[in-house]
Parts: sequence; C-alpha cells; structure tokens
Amino acid sequence: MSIEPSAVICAIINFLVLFFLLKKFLYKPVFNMLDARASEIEKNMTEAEQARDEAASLKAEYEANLKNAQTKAQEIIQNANKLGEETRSEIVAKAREEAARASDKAREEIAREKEQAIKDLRAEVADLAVDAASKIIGRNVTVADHENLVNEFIKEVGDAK
Amino acid sequence: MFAQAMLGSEEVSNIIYQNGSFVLTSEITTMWGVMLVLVLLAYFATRNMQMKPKTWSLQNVFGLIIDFLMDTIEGVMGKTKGRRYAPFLLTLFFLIICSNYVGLLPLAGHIQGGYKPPTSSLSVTAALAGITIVAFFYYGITAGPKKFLKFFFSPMLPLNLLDLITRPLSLAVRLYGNIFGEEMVVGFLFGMIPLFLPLPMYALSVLFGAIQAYVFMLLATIYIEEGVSGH
Repeated sequence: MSIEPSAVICAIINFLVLFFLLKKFLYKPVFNMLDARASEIEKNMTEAEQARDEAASLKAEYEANLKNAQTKAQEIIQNANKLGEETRSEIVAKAREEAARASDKAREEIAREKEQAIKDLRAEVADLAVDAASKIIGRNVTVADHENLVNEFIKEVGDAK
Repeated sequence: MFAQAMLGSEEVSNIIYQNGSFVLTSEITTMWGVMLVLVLLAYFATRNMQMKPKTWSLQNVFGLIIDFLMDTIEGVMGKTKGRRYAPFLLTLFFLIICSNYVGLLPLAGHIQGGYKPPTSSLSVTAALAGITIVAFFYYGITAGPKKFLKFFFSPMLPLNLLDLITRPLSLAVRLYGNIFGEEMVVGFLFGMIPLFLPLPMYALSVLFGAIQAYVFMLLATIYIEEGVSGH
C-alpha cells in the first residue's frame, strides 16, 4: 500500500477525460431525453385531464339526451295511445253510422218494394176487375172507360171504408 | 501463505512500463480499459435514443441507473443544483463501480502485467478523493465566492481545515480498503479451493462494489452541496 505519484496523475487525467467524454456521450443526451420525457408526460397528463373533462361533459350531455329521448318516447307512446283510442272510437262510430244507414236503406227498400207490390197488386186487381166486368157487360171496354171504372170503383171502396 | 504470495506479487507485478520517474501500473491500464468500455457503452446507449426504449435496451438500463442516482443527488442538492453537478458525481459513480467490478472478471489480479481493479490501488482512490476536494473548492468558488469565503473566515476554521484533510483521506482509504480487502479475500479463497468456494464472496463483491461506488458518490454530493451552499 503505497501511493505512486505518476499513477495518481494518470488517474486524475483519466478521470477528467472520462468526465468530458461521458458528459458529451451520456449525460447530455440522457438528460435531454429525461426532460423530453418529463414534458411529454406532463403534456399527456394535461391531455388526459382534458379528455376526461370532455368525456364527463359528453356523458352528461348524453345522459340529458337520453332522458329527453325517454320523455319524448313516453310522450309519443301516450300520443299514439290517444290517437289509437280516438281512431278506434271514430271507427266504431262510423261503423255504427254505417250500420244505421244500411238498416235505413234496407227499410226504405222494403217500404218501396211494399209500395210497388201494392201498386202492382192494385193494377192486377183492376185488370181482373175489368176482365170480370167486361165478361159481365159482354163487351170490351176502352181504356178510358176502363180507367174511369177503376177510379169509380176505388172511390166507392174508399168511401165504403 | 496464498495471501502472502498474492501480496508479494501485488507489489511487483503491477508495473508495466517504467521510464525514469514515470511508472505505468496495471491499474492505470485497467482504468483505460474501463474508460473505453464505459464510453463505448455510453455511445451505444445514446446513439439512437427512443422515446419508449425497450426494457433491456442499453438506453433504458443507463436511463434507470441515472434516474435512480439523480433521485439521490437531487434529494441532497435540489433539482437545479443536482443537474449542474450531476455529470461530475455520476462520472465518479460509473468509474468506481466499473473499476470495482473488474475484480470479478476471471484472472483479475492474478497474472503478471494483467488487469487489476483500479480502486484496489490507493493511488487511484487518492486521486479520486483529491479530485472530489478540488471539485468542492472549484464548484464552491464558482457558485458563490463570498459565501465560500466563510469557509476560511469563521471561528470554525480549525475544524474546517481538519475536515479538509479527513474527508479525502476517509474517501480514499474507505474505497481502497474495501476493494483491496475484497480482492484479498477472493484471492485467498481462490488460492485455497478455486472451485465454488469463492462464489459467496463474489456475490458479496457485486453488492459491495455497488455500495462503495454509491457511498463515494453520496459523500461527494454532500461535500459539494456544502461547498456551494456555504455551510
């Protein structure tokens, strides 16, 4: 264990050389990289925070939208129900009306048919009466006579009533 | 007996070249090797830097080590001062830890004219301690001459001067003693039974090599912090 002066001087020179070489090749780039990374991390963190805030506001917006949509949907359903109810009652009313009209028409038709039948019957009766009368009278009657006869007859019948 | 043989060879075997008063010893040539390896590693680590390096890439390994050491340095000095004096302190650390680990290489210190851990030589550790004290003065004066003068013009001057002597002495002798002792023990065990027996000591050497480098750097950090903040 002894100190060798030339070894000490060499060691000092060695250290200084190493100091400058490492400063150039190691510390400068590494520190630059550390700084770059630190600023990158900071940037990323602020970005992440921004993104989080944005996401939160978007979420709130979506929730509001969803709620809105739900109330709107409820409203639509209610409207549809109401409309359906209205349509139903309308249809029922229309159907009732239709039915009433149909029955009226039928009744009218029946009445007309009845009248027609009466008319026809009356004509038939008149013809028969004319035939019978002409057989009794023994000669033909003109149409004018014929009508006069019938009308008289009817009048008589009506008066008799 | 083996230890004696080793000790004997320590004294004679490490002179590689001698010309008058200039003596080139094997710890200096080993130191050149260490420096070459360190500079090459540093060059390849920072040649093509990535923002997201792979886990076991050289860049990431160096980055992690420097990050860890910077935590220590900035813990003592604060961020701006830590950055300013980090190159000096980190160079101490890298040089010392690599020098310590040279002792773990096969045949270290066992062949004539071979390599030997530079930190197992008092000349080298004294040089490193001397540089640290010079740095203490240099950084102290450049950081604030007035504040630094308090070091001399204070009632504590005798104690300060004593500090000035004991600090480099303790730095140099602690590192030298640890690494030299380690080398001795490994060499002794290796001499007794070369297989397996020295292994636990190798494992301890890995630990101690790192701790000694870290302690040297930490103490240097504290000294320089005292110098620049004018305690």
